[in-house]
Amino acid sequence: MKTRIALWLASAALLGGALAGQETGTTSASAEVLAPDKKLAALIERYNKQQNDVSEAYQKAATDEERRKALAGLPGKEYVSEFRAVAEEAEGTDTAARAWLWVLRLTDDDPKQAWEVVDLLLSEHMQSPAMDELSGELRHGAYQHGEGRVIEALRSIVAESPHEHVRAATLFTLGAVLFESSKPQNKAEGRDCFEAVVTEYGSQAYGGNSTYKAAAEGYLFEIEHLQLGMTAPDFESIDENGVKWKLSDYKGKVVVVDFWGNW
Amino acid sequence: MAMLPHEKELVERLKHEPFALLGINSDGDADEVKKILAERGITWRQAIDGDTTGPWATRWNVHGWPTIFVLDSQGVIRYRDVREKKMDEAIETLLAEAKAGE
Repeated sequence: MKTRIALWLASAALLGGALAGQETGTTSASAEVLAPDKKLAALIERYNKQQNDVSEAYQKAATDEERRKALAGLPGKEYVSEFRAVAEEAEGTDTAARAWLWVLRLTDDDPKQAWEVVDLLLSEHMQSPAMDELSGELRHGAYQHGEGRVIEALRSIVAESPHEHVRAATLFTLGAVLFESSKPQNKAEGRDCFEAVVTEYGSQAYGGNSTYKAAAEGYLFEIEHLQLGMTAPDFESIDENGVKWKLSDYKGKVVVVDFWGNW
Repeated sequence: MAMLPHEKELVERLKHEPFALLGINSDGDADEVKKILAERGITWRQAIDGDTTGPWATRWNVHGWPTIFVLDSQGVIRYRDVREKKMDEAIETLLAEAKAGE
């Protein structure tokens, strides 16, 4: 709560400064009116810094109480109005699209508001190279936002975006949403999407060090070899003492394979 | 990590049964994982998969942790991402099947 108040004060001070600057016609450094893209960058930087500070405080915390306190400082909805203001000021530009994407991230627990933003992005910003980020947001929101509507939105991006990387990312995401759907017909279509990603957008980079081809083939392998009722494909690895072992060593036993990490 | 107490209990309870818990770990190299295993008191078989883009996780298309596959005694995937009581029930069912098939 303290953090929110401090932030509110900080933004009030900024706003005050900007207004004062306008009134007197000065453009001193502290009262300089930034272009929307600079404003957006500054806002994102402030958001990320707050998040990093919380993460550091959380790691330093020794008790549950301290951890709880640290987490209470996480940035959130108090940023919505600022991102919205940048989006409205930059209307029609790529900066606006990126600012709306932030509004969407921060309002994804409110389907009505989230869909207003999604619809606005689909109708006004289809040309933006940042639309692949919308696909990602739609995927994460598929459960609370309604699968059918998410699928329809993803299809429209695949059909209409002029950017190859946006179409690649969105077709891949569409494949994942369809494949993770509970409807058998959707699952089959998901497979078609992954196959199309491999053939049409294979060379496009996926994340830092992979390609859409590799990522889509991962899903195709899962579809073909890792479904319930299929014999688990064998795999060989080494344990912490350097001893080689393979999954098939355990044939004859009931096996729990647990992919885990200490985090 | 939340699963650890249950997993320890499981391994202890089923130590005389045809059952194995296999951990595919994404925390780093063998030395790194050794430390974690010692700290956490983990005794069951581990695969050192490196990081979240390790070879096993990549081949099995794992993008979330933990991800769990439960295999029957013939190596067939029978359950996925079952936890706690659901995992216990799955294992009981498969152990009973294995015994019936002997």
